[in-house]
Amino acid sequence: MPVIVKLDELLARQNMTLTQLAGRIDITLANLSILKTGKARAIRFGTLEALCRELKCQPGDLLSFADDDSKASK
Amino acid sequence: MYQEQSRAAGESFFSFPAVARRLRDPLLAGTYAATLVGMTGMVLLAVIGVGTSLLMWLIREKVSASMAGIKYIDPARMPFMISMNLLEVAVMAVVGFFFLGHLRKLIKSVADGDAFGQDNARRLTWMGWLTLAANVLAMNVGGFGTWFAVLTHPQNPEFAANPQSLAFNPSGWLLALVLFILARVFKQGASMNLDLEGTV
Repeated sequence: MPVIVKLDELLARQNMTLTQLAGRIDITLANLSILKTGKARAIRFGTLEALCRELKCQPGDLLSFADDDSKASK
Repeated sequence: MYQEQSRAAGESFFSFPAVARRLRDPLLAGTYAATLVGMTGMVLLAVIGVGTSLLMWLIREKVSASMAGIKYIDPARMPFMISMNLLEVAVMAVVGFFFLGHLRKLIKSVADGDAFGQDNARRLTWMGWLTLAANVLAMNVGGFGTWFAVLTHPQNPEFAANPQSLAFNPSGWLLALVLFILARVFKQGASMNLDLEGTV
């Protein structure tokens, strides 16, 4: 999937675990894990808002787009 | 979680207590129980239908003799006609058994938290076809019953007032239409549900 979720990076920056994050926002650990592993097919604005609030970041910090062609050339 | 539990419990006919506990809705739990009772009743009705049909064929000469002299009735053909109609009642019971079976699974899917699935769309389509089949059979059985009742009891004012009362039931045809429409609604609901899967 060309949209990459950089949850790992942001968690490390905040020195926080996935379980701690799940405890702070109203999202289950299972769903956060789906998001982290790039298996999610869609993300709600409410989820994005909660993640940005807790991780002190902007939506653009959490998500990035990598074109399949540019990925292949790397 | 619920799906796993239900699979562990299996699709058993006797899983009522577990399903009723998960449903937490008296209407659904009550209907689920009623479908189990109804399915048992349909099996009994099918057995009775086949049994009486055979019995009618065995005592056909006595039946023919008892009908001699009734206007518009051919005593030689009557045992066969009654026998066939009793068999049709048995077939209707089989149709009813499968209809209630689909309804039972439909309610169970609510307990499993998986109501808007393709399986339920298919079930509703089947229920629509079964309702159509039951209506056709009911018209035949009811028509024969009305004809027979009018001929054997010509003085009964109820038959004289409404001779089609047993043969045609418009609500049955409407039910089939509603079921086909609901099947399409569920089909769309299932695809919308699929879209939501994987949304965080």
